[in-house]
Amino acid sequence: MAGSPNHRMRIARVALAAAVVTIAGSGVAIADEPEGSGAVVPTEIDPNNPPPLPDVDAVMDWFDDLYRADSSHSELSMHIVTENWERTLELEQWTRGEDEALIVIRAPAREAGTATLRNDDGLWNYAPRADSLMRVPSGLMGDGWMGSHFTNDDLMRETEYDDDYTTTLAWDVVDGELQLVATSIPTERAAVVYTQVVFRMRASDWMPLRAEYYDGDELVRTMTFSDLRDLGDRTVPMRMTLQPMDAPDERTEITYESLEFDARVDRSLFTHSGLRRAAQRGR
Amino acid sequence: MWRLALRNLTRNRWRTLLTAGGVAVAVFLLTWTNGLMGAMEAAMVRGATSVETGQVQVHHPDWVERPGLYDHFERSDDLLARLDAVDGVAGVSARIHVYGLVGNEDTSQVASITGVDPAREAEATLAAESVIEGRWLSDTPADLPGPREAVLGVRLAELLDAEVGDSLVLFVNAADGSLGNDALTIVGLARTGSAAVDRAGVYMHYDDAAWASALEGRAHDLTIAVADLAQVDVVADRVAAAVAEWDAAQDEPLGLVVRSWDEILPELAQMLDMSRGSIWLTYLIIFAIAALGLINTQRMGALERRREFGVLLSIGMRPWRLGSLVLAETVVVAGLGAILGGIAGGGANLWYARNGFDMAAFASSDVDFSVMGIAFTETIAFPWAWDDVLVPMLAVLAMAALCGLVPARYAVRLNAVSAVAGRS
Repeated sequence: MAGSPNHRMRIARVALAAAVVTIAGSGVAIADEPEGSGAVVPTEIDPNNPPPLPDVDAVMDWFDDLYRADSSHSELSMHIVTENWERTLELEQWTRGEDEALIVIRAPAREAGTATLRNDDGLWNYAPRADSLMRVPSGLMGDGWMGSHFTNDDLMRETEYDDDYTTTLAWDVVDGELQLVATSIPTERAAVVYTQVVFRMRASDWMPLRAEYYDGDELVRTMTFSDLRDLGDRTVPMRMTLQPMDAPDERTEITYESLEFDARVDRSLFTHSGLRRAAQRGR
Repeated sequence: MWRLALRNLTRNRWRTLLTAGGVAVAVFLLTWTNGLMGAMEAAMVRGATSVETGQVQVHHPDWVERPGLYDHFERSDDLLARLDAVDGVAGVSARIHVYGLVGNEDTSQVASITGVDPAREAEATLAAESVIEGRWLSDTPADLPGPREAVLGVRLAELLDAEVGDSLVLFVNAADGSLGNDALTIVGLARTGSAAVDRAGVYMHYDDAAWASALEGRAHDLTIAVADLAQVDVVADRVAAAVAEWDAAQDEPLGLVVRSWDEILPELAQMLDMSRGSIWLTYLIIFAIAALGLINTQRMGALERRREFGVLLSIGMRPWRLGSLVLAETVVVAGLGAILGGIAGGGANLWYARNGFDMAAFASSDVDFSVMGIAFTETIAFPWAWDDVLVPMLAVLAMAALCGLVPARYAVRLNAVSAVAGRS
């Protein structure tokens, strides 16, 4: 295991960002091509003879760029499978900067117009039938968002991971394929949910494959990235599957149907009146 | 001999009256304590069952293990009609229970939402009667679109800084995984005496709550009020039979579980058993005080009458007869006290049975609090039971008979010659 342990751990943040931010976070964006980061990205790698590990900073910078966008606008579906029910939500999402996000449920009809707003003031749910917002109290941060396996805390916490984790890099061979593994552990003072986050990337181009979240020694959930799609000038995983380990038959799967980076997103959208406008449109 | 005993007692009327008075106070206290305990017990059972659980409930078997959103069964009109017809059933309410958030832009609180048929709920529980401000839910849901009617626990309304007429937002975790939402308008505030309901309870019309929580046509419980609390076990058996018959006729019988309040709230049943046990300690203390007083006065009397006893023995009275006379005197004085105490205690209990006893007498200030389901602002009626009066009276008589043995034994063992001579 190599790397610089006392780093601000951005990979952990990105791992969670990919998992979480995709539904409410700072936006998912493939920025410039990886070579823009200055990292040396190998193209053909022999698993038995791995090259020297890349620099942690380089990987982190690459990830910073990979997921950075000033704004985004996307349409996605969220398929939730639990022991008791299975359903699919059609969502529309806008993000701006790192702190502002708005998600509106468009379907099914029963829930259409229900929305969640995240801004500097906190987290809000919008009840279309009441045409009213309600602040999500801190006591409910551990509850699932709209019945999914993502928690409200997932929505709120991601930007705080910056200072909370320290990361090391290593190579790992899985099914004959070489993977770059970033292991993040929280700094001593950090009040975090997970005691370790392991992020697996494709060795050739550092594309995300899987994130593993640990509580103590126990793997509690995994996030699998799939359906890499070339969106013209960038490639991005279009599907993310969150799998809670204590319920093997349950999962939440997010699939992007459209994804626009650096879209024109008005700041006023992330206010209570902007939320109302966005939520009521299409009803 | 009884007449002789009575005549002897009238010789020192003051002492007799004081002794009888002591016994009367003991009997009065025991009778009154019985009444109060009975009233508190009934208040506890009523407080604990009249709003949340009723006296008999029907549940999905999984609910009994651990209550959960998905442990529901069909809300069948046929089943409700069958239970309405059960002898001894005063009311049946089919309800759903879901957790959610109520609030507004500034604040929100976790709430326990109960969806009820307002008319049926009013028959089965005291929820409707516990509305202290505004009104109970309308029999039919409000017209759509528009806010849904809600009755909030009084403490919940305080926490939300809301009052009758205010609008609130509701979010509930629905059974299909969705986040049900609706607008509420507060039509009433309820003070039920149950801290859980007052602090977090929201009553909504069944249709409204079922829509928001995607539980249309389903029920989490059937809550049943029995006409006579003493008959609860018999009624529960009849209900169980009716439910089993209906359940068995379904395509997929669930094995619905019928339980009476002492099974639903075993901790309450245990506590009542304990308090019934602890009343014997009160008995013991009051008895000990009364007994010591009785022994003391009767023995003093016997000592004073040594010469008289000596004379009686000298003129031929048999010692056992003298002893019996002394014993009879004790029993008569205690009997007199028991009758006086019984009349006073019984009268007090009857009065409190009619007019109720204000629990505020036990509260040091005008505060609103409740202990074990009894709000100390309420007036509780004593139950009227002959046992409450007769048991202390008979117990005191038995005690008097035992106490009387002490002076009687003294009289029996008296030596006539030395007694007449005044020598000990």
